[in-house]
Amino acid sequence: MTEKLKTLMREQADSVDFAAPDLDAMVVTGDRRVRRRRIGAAAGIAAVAAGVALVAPLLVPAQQTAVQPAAPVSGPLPVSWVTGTLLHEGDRSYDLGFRPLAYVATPQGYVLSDRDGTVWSWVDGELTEVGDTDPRDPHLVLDDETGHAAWVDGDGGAIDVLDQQRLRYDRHPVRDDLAGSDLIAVDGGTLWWEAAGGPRSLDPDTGDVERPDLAAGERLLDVQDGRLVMAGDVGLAVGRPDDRIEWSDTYGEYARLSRDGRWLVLEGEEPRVLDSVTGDRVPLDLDRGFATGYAWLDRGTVAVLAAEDDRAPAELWTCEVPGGACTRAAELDTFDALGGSFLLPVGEPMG
Amino acid sequence: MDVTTRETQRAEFAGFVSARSAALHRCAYLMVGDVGLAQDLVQEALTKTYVAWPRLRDTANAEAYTRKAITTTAIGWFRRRSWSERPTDRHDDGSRPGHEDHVAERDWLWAALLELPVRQRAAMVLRYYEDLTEAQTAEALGCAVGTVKSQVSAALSKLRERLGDDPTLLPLHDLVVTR
Repeated sequence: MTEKLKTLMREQADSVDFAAPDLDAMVVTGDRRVRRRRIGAAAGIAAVAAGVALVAPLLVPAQQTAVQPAAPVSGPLPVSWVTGTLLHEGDRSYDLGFRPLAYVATPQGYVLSDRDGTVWSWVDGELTEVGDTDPRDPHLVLDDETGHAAWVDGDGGAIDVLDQQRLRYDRHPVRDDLAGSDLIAVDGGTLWWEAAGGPRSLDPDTGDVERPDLAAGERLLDVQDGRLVMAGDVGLAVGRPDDRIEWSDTYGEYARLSRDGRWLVLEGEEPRVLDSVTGDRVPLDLDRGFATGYAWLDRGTVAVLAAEDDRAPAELWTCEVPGGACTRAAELDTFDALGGSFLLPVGEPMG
Repeated sequence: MDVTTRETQRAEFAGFVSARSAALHRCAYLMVGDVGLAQDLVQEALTKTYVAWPRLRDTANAEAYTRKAITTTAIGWFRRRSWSERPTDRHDDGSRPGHEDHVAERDWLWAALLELPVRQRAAMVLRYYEDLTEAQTAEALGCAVGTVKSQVSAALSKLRERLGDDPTLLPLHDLVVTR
């Protein structure tokens, strides 16, 4: 019945000739976009300096008792970014006195790592030295349920979990068979690893290690409220090994679940938010040539990095999910004009 | 990524562009109705594919990715530039051609297709030219399957208003939206 319609469209399409695509231009432009993604950049914020950080490094004594859960994350996290030694939060900026390599936003403030591998806690303008990590590969993760931040310590022998509200941390030795693995997420106190043989979870209270039954080759990208984000050769999946929703032909190396595990934001050239219950894509009212979500500020607000085009100023937006309304939170400088010291609170270096 | 890996990936990408760009151009042309715009669209979509290439494992994935990039980029361009009413390459004289006049019928359908809103047109091209399933079309459009059904149904209704009830031309079953 539709053959005639198909035939007519096919004939129409075959009736014209096209010039060959410009492969060199694709490579040049594409490489620049890859650099832009890695580097990002931000500067030129006019309103600055509502306060300068009180830099007061203090060593936190190791705690022998387990960290008690802090108040669950409830209020929205502010939009923040780092350029050079400046930590920007809305229209305020704070001079940290060092250049962070990576940072995460917490309900109390921020946890940052520097080029020496030192890990810092920042709360209300006060800096406290709280540990160390490998400066060659810093990775800070936030447990949205407890508000705790975690990282692998400098020699790779332990995971430190920081209760920033109490400025106490708990140290969990890394088992020999997990040495060298990547810490992916902390979810309700459970530590999730990407090990050589696949993902593992570690209950720090009991020391039990479990291996989720994922498909061969699947990698773990995030865990939230007991729900796993898995990336494989045929797409992405969210859920539990026996109860999951899959998106074939959908790919991403960076993905973050909302605090309740309902919404998934993926990196990309355009904002991609997926409903992990229905599988539907959530449209966002954000019309930019480039836009990628990168973090959840509360249960239903996603932070988005965007720009009209390659040479336009970078922008930070907040978008409501599932409503889709978006608000511009900050306009930064262009990606090309800004250096490699730009950071967003994703826990990893961007350059 | 080392230099050898990067060079290998670029060679693979060049092979993909060489093999599939003609088909991608035709799909883009049906969506936007303009040769120059279709070429710009494919250039942009393939650039996005190049950026994503390291995480695409085979050409089937690359083609689906590029098709999706063409679709979403076209919709974005039209939304921003309000080109939904842009002039078309061929003009409709408003009269219904006889069934024997195949070329005129093609022109007439083409003009009617170009009058559709871009999302409806994209859904029609993906479903009836690319022969994608509703689920694949939904993935390319970045929407739910139910939205694909409603977009296709709305498009067919509009085409039927313009073209009449020709069951050999327009599928009747897709006029009914079932979720």
